[in-house]
Amino acid sequence: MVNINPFRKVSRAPTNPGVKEPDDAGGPARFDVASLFDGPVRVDEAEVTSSAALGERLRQAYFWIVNNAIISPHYDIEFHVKPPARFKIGDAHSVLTLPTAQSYSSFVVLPLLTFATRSKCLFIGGPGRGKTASALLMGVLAGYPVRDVRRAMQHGHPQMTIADLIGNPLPADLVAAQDMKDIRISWRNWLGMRVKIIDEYNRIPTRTQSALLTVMGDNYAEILNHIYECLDAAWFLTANDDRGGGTYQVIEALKDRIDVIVQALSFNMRFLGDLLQRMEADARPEDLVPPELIFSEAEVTAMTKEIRVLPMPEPVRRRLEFFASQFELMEAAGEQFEYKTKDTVRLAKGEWHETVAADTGRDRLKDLGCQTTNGLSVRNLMTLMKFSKALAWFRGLDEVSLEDVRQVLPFVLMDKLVPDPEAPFFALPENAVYRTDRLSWLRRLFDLSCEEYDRLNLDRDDPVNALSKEFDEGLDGLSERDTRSRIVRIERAITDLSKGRKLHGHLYDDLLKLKYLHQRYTNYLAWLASQ
Amino acid sequence: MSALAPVLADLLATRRTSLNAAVERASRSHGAPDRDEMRSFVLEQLFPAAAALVQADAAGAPPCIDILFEMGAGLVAQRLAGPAARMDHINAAWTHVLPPLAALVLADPRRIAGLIVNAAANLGKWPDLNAPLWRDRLAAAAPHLKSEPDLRSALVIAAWQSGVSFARRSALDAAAALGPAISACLLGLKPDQRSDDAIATLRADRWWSPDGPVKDFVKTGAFTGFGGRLSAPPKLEPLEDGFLVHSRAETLRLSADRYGVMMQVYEGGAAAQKFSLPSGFRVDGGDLCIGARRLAHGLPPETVSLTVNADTLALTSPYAHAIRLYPLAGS
Repeated sequence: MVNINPFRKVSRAPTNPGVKEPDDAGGPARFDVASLFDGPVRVDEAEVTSSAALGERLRQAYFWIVNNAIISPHYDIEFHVKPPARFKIGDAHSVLTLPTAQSYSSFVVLPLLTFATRSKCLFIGGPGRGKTASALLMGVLAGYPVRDVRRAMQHGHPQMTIADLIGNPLPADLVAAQDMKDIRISWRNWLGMRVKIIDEYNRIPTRTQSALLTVMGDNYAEILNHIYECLDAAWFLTANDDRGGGTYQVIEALKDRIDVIVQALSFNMRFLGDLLQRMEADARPEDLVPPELIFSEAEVTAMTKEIRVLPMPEPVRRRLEFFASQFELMEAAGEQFEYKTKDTVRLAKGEWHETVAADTGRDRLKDLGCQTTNGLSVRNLMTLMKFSKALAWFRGLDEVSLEDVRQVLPFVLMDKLVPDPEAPFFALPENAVYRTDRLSWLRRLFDLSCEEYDRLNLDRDDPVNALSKEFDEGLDGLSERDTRSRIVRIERAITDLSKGRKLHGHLYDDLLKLKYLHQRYTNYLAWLASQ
Repeated sequence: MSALAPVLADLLATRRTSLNAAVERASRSHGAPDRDEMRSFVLEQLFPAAAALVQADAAGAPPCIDILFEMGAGLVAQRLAGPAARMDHINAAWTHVLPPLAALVLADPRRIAGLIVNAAANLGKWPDLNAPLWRDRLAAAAPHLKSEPDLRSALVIAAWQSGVSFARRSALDAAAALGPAISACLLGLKPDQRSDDAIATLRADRWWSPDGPVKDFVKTGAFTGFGGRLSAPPKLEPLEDGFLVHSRAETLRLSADRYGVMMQVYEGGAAAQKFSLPSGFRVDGGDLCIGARRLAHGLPPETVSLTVNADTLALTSPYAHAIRLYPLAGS
């Protein structure tokens, strides 16, 4: 009937047919009189659409980008509903897997999740691989005109000053003002945007990076005692090389503020025809984003909220806890139990290799903690949970699945969990590839952790979890006799756990948790005695 | 309509560009509608609405028709309207509800038509609703509706009357706030019935209606294997205004009145209460005795359990998925 511009074609809903729609959720939907007026027609352009509709639109945005904007997507976030076909290719038996469920390109889906959760994403990769273009698309999805997004993009360069980055005092006021508060500041426009883009952030001088850190970390900018409170925003940064290849070393704190890192993969030459077509049509994806894929501020806020409250089931959380607990322990680092951590070595500026050599208690090949030089921070864990929820939400799930955690984990921890190249694990010939492929290493690390979790049968027999749950029920009305009984059970659990076993990271956390419970009951007992 | 057909045909011809643009806009969201289905929709559903708009305001109608055309294209593409529509409700809204509301539609076509279409689409999600009644009550009340809030109230009342029992309280509040003429149309009152009195009686007795009370009992619930809602014979607990229905691992909230019975997933908020069985109700063999009346239930008598709330008696058995609801008032 009408000619449709192929670049403006949006994938037809539902983009993920497995996802439950509100009206086919297997039972009657919850009724609300207001919901009588929600439906296929958008009555009010400004009204926030439902969660399911937002998820569908975000998936449509994803498919529009992979079908029209990114010419050769790589489906590296793989999901399966049944065992996939695997092909071993070449002398090195490289494995090619054909996913059996809807799978995604990390280069597109992670920036979209960053956009939906207002987080911070770093694109890395060689020049001309679409890092900046992808960041630009995210700005357009937020409803900004392409021109404004381009102008607001901050390009890192070696002469970039704080004034270049966040603004400057008006010169006339500098001369005439009798008080600091009389000096007006000309703030840069990008500070007020909902999508902030910093191109080549590793070319920014160190001092300016510190100003950037304040904006990124604390969401405000400060010049001459004047404060600019920024809006919550999604951040997109690009770097040609995140491992020290920039003009300036990126300060650690700034790196730590970045939530996910995605790598721009190489162009598949089989798609050259599409590239040619785009060149001949003089089409730029950012100019052609269909209006229905643009999200209002309220819609992004609604998405962020929906993602935050998506449940993470206890079995999934436990496996994540078990994984995260592997890395902090360094038995030879301290004498007191609480200080036997890698952080103790780092803070004391101790010789890493000497401490490692003294750490003789465990099988250094099998213990996962021996593969890293650090542990995970609270910020890392929060980001990991946030992005696991975001991916599950994006896939239309009602709760986070283990596979969501497994797929997101390498992108969140890529530069957070630092491998120890001297670890025996990397010396094995079959593991040599993990020295360069950090994503696969992190995924393998998580798989090994899950295998160990299964071997220990922790899903069914987890005494520490049982004691924790008992404690979580509260102390109100607990008798002295029961309290003493629980203390005895905790002490017995410690005896059982420590019997004939090496001290591993997860055991270390379990023991510290038991100590915490013991202390709480002991304090309660003392309080009871005083009544 | 026949006299207006050439006018509308001219309108479509002269506005070809803008109508094609409208289809393109709709296509971006939902894909292009099928050509034949779109043609049928234009002839069968759009024309009646467009004719009413032209009759109401020939000069103001064209831009409104553009908007309705775009909305219709999106609905046809989603198979929600037109000859391949998955439900009849939306087509009926276009042909029966939109035309008498032409004056309101002209004022804000996207919003007014959108509200009606969305309300119709929502009715389609609930089985066993009385769609013709919804359509007729709204059509009857349409000439009296002068504003969007009136329309919203009317849509809630019509939904309740057609069987959305969960909307009961909101609908009665809305009916009390509307004028008597509109309320009378929407509640289906007879000429000799005053709307104030009717609303008061409806509030007091959920099993009353202007057409008379329920005859004997209402049956609801059925085995999922036969297209019902319950995977196992239900166990009930009384609530102030309904029942909690436990069926295997699922808990539903049942709401029933003279106009319909609905179950929805229970999300907490209402606690079970205790009510005592009124005298005169008892099970005697294969019958439920209500005073002197005997109503056969056809279930093994020793398995029957009775659950009562403020105004309803529910009869269930572990041998049946069905729930029989008997009004207490007037029994």
